[in-house]
Amino acid sequence: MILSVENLSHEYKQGDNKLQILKGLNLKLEDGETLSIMGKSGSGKSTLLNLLAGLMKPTSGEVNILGSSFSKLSDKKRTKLRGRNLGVIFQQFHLLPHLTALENISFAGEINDIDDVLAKAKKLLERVGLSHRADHFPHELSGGEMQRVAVARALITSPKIILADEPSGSLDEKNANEVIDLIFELVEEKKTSLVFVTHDEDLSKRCNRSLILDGGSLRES
Amino acid sequence: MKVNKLIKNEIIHHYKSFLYIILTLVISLVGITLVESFKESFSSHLSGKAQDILGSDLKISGRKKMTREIESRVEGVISAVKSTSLINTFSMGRASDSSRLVLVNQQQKGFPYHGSVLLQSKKKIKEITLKDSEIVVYPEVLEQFDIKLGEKISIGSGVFTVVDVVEEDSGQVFEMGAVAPKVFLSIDGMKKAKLIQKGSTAFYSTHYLLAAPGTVEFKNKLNDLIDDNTYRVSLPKDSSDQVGRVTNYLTDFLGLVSLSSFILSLVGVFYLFRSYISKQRKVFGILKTLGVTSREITTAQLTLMTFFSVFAVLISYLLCVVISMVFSPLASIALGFDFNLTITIYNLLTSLLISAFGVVFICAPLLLNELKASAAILLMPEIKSRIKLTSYLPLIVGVFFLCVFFAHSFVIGGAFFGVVSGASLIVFFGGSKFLKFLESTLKIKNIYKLMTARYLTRYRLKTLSIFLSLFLSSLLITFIPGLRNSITSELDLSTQEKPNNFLFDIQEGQDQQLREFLSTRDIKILGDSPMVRGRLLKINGEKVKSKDNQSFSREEQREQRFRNRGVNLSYRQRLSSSEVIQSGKPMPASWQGEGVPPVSLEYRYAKRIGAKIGDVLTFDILGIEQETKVINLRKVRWSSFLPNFFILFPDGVINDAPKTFLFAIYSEESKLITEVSREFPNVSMVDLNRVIDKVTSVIKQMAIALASMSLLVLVVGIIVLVNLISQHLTQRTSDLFLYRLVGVENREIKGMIKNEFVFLAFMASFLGSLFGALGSGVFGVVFFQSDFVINFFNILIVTGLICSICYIITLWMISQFFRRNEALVSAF
Ligand SMILES: Nc1ncnc2c1ncn2[C@@H]1O[C@H](COP(=O)(O)OP(=O)(O)O)[C@@H](O)[C@H]1O
Ligand SMILES: [Mg+2]
Repeated sequence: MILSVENLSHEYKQGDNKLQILKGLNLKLEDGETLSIMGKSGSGKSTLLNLLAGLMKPTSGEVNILGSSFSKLSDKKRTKLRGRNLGVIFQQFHLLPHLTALENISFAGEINDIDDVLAKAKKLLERVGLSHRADHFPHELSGGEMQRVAVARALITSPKIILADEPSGSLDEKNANEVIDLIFELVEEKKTSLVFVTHDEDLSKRCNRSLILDGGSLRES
Repeated sequence: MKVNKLIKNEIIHHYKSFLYIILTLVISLVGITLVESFKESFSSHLSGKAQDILGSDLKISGRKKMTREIESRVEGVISAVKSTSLINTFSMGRASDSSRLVLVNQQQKGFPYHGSVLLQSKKKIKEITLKDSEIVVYPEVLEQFDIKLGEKISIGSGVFTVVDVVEEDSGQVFEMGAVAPKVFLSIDGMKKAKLIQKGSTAFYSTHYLLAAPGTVEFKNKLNDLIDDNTYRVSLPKDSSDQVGRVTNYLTDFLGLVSLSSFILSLVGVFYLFRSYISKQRKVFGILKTLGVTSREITTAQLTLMTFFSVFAVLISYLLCVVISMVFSPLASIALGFDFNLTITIYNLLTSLLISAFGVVFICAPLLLNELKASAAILLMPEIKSRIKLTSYLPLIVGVFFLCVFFAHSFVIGGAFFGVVSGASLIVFFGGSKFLKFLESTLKIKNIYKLMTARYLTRYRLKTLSIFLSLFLSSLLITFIPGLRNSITSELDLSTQEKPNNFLFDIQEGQDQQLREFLSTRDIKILGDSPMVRGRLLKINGEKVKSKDNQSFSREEQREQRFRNRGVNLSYRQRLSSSEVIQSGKPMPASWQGEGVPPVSLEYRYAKRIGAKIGDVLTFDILGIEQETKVINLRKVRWSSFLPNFFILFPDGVINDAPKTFLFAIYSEESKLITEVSREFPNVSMVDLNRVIDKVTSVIKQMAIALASMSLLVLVVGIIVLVNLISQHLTQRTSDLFLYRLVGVENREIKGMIKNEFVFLAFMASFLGSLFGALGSGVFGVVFFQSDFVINFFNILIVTGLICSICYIITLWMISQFFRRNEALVSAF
């Protein structure tokens, strides 16, 4: 088992109001498994993904990645664990604006001590079909191109798990399809696990397993 | 309708940003308003001192009584509340067996209008009515004549009883002409003494109390109107060289302080608004997609900003009123004089003007620039708007006009604008080139350092804009204290011994005896000058005419009037410690040669008579014409209180002319005056203690004014800095988040941000304080006649201060970010 979540709860505080988003959520993900999570907008999908990535602390409960519990790790170890083993792709592309496409990819590898980073980054860039845009800055790329760079960046460390939060949400249909195809192809190639958040039923069918987030916990579809 | 809705939504959803904007505006406006009202309070205090010395708002004086015709011409253009005509004259006073010169002043009930002459009886001279047999005298008169209160003294053909003694005279000045001790007589007393008959020299002056204070232009206008160099027009600031200068300096200095605090606030507000707009970018994109036009968004945003500005103006006004009420009594205690910080409607209007300026010249262009982009572009977070320099053009022009407005002077405001914008341009373009250069040459192994370098060199516009802001803040923070240094070096009271007594009318032959007399009493002569009376006849062979020529311009006519006055000439082997050559060659110690002998002129006198180095001046010295050539222009440290002369010859040129001597001495012996009077009956001695105390206190108050204003600018500057950095870091939230996402440890993120800031802050504050120090040195020389003073220690201190402030704020901000772990995530 590569990822497990036990009794995860999360609430946002807004002044005196508490907004309970997740309630006693449980989840298990096997090595190489692809899982889709569907749910209405506002149901807490992004919140869950951020918790899985260790970007936020849950109100209660545990997230275990590769056998280590996020809550028991120091911030430093947690960051390293995420950097090396998780690749995160968001709806928004989130590239560093002052780095070129190639640098955005290689930087993520370099800080995680990946060998031969530059060659790997170039290969990945070629794989996502952007080798001719290597020296372009994000603002010189289209939305689809930026998202492809983000996909390549998520893969530079050869992560065990990819977490994708509606990665095609900001793209037009043609670009969306291309990016989604790319993600599934790469997951297949690299044999990584995938947690794929979407609200598109057709897309969810491309995964081994589909769950629905509803009322703060997951259920089979 | 749509616009109203937009505004409502904005306020509800972004109330935190708006609170922050309002807070910043309030702080800026409070800063500017306090600086302005400090400025008003200090200058009105000092100009009050000057009024006290003159006794009125305007004095027209001369050797002749003003004719009815001139008088009515003058009264036609001024709005006088009251006026008094007074006469004073020099006369010999006699008592027991000594006689000496006194300055007889006409006492008139109700005068002086400003200031007061306090008597030993605790009455003021303007409250009493003197009988024609009564006299009020300065204390040294009693000592010199060796008489007591109630005893008699003869003046002219009258005998008068001393009924009171002056204890304090706010009108007493340090002036070479007014050296004899004062006595006061009524007009009847003066008539009885036959002091104002035909043929006797008397000075006639008419004092006016005006509804509004006069300006230099007003004075020039009066001079032109009177058109007769017999009469001299004096305003309060002409009343005393020292106090006048202090007032002038302070006005200019405070103008610059206003400017600095204004520019500082502008930088802060500009940066604030810029980051607000870049935060709003996405919202604008969404609104545009929803079909709201750019025009509607602009209207809504500008309405909002106007609303907030007005709100901030009102809050800051109230705050200032409260601060002034609390602060005034405290300041009065600290400063040792009645200091009244008043916040007026003028301050409110200024704040409104500045806010309007901000909305029109900062908000509008930035908004329009942003909204030019299409909705799709606005929605992409990776794309940040780039501002063309041309869209700053209206702002720059606007700043120029506000500079002139704040300085109340085209020259000073313009020069300040020139220094600030020039330095900014250099930094901007130089910095851009430098960063490009760095990018192509830097080879950095460490990935984090490389990231820092890339951020700085590739985000050039952003880097440069924060850099420029830090730079300007540092520049102004250094500029004002630097200027203060320049001015105070000029005001320095401590550098040398100051005389407290002048001895006048020492005859040739008598000087040697007096020297011995003083040296046996261990009294050092601090100044020892021969004095020869002369008159300027020609400049470069051209006659200086006594009657104004109509073909001259007004300027030239004024010049003429100055040329025509009699002057004291002196000669010396070397310059005194209070003099420095401003331009030209040093003068030889003595002159035996053939040809035209050299002369040294005081530089302001040279300017007034229109003489340059190399000009040949011809003086009339008791009927003999003496040609001289101007060899240098001299500057006199006017706070030294040493006797100084406009015209100085080397030894050997005018030595043979009939002359008297003037000694300046320091002695605390109270009996000295009586002893000198007994031994040397014709020598007059003037006690300078009271005058020096007065001028010193004015100078000290000015020093306090300078220091406190510098401090105020520093505080405003630091607030702006804090603001800048926190805004800058907030804008970088998304970068921080990304760093974390790809696995950069917090420690490394902190390191990167720290490196960025240390580099930026160090460069900006170092360059800023360097330029600030240079600027203050130049301004000191150009506008304050001081020496070129650059205090490198100051540069170090400011650099250190700003760096540490930046560092501390950066650390604090970063820890804030990481403390609220989710802040990073929810920034999206
Ligand atoms: N930082 C936050 N503070 C308060 N409430 C939040 C925050 N982030 C998300 N929420 C709320 O939590 C709920 C779930 O949000 P999210 O996880 O983004 O849903 P989804 O991705 O499924 O659309 C929403 O109602 C949202 O308003
Ligand atoms: Mg979501």
